[in-house]
Amino acid sequence: MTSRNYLCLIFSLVFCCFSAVAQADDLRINGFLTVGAGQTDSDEFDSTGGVAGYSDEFSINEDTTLGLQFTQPINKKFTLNAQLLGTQGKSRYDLEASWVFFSFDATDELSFQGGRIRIPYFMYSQFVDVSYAYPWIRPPKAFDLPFSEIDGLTAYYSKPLDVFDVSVEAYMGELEVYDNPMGSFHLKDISGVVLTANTLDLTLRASTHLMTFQIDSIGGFDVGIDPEPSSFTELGFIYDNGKIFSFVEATLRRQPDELKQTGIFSDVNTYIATLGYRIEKIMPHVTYDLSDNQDIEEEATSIILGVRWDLEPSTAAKFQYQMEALDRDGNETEANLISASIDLVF
Amino acid sequence: MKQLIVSLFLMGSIFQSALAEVVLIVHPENNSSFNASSISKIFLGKVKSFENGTKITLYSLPEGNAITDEFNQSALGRDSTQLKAYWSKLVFTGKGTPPKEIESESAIIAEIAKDPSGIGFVSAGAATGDVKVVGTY
Repeated sequence: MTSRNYLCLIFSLVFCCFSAVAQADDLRINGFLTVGAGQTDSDEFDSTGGVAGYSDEFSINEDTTLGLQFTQPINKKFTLNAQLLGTQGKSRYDLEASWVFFSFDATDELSFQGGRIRIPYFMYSQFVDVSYAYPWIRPPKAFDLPFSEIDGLTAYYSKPLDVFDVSVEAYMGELEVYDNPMGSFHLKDISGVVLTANTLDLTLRASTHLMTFQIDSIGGFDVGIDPEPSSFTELGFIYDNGKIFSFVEATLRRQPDELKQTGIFSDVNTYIATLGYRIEKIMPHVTYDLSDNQDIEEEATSIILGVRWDLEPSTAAKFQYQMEALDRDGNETEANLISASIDLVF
Repeated sequence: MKQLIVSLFLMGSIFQSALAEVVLIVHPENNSSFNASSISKIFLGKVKSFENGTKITLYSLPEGNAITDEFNQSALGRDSTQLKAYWSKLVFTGKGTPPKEIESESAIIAEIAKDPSGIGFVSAGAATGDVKVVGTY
């Protein structure tokens, strides 16, 4: 069975299950679609996965993504959600994914989610596939982290107050990965806390995350590494008053020595800043994105010049010029990517 | 002269209909009080129950409708695209349910007239005695 057939089968199975549980009028189906195309002006990055998966040959596969969400309220407090995601991009970790999670609204302020959840590392983590929800065609490189989908439980508390609305999110979970090209490993004792405060225009966010990256084998060799926890700390804000859009986020990722010795892990700081201005339905924007490796002399920068054009309330067209540079031990590699997309939500 | 008056009158009425007032409506038995801040929090899904404890169901006219645009802009200060992006973040993280879209003003009034959890908006002229008007834009 090809993977595409497999995906179709999952789509149909989930759809049947959900229809069987419930009245058709209770089930909500939402989705998002991105159709994108692009090409780089140089083959400099082609041997290391290209720029966001694109090479110097024209491609329509990298950003093209279809997602479907089935939401089935079981009773007043309990909701079942299934998400199906299909993308053909080489740079994405989950080519095809499907997961189920439940939401339990204990009170207006407190809710729980359990099942397959996404680690809320970044302000944009939890809807990183929904291109319609942000100005860029694809998540900038600073958001690039493998193995973000884990099996776990989240508690979410939010309270609207007079000036700021505040929320606290705490989660825990784990993930076992076998037969990955990188090796076989177990991400355990994953936990984190996210604090946000927001008004209509401003969102402030701080989060911290811990996890233990236990490695059984790397590239076929048994290594049996059971290290101290890795940590991830994030600070960011979004200011959007309907005209001006600005976004800044910084992260500090710290790894224990046992992991650094593998040569795969290092301490990295990332910084990203975006500024956009809406002129009617068109928003030009500019982004600076830096990943600074603290252990070896390596800096990856990406400058994005883009335009988002809202064609309809649920359809956007985007154009983006991305200048990618990698500086390793003083040797600079550069390539530029030009790409365009149409994003839909329904 | 008479023609001029008639055409001024016509222009006046066209102008007025372009700026049609929008009213916020709830079930007649809903005695909660509302202000600009609480309405904005209700329609952004942050406040989920009325003062009387009833869970809120949001109703909206279709996106792209002039009355919807007018309400979104005056009550929430956002256009329909920005709201769509806002709700898609909540929908795809399982954290919120956007307003139920109802095709016509009369259908919204009919829904809210029988739904104590309902809140929605219609143009001022469309509101009937079956619902309670709690705000004007």
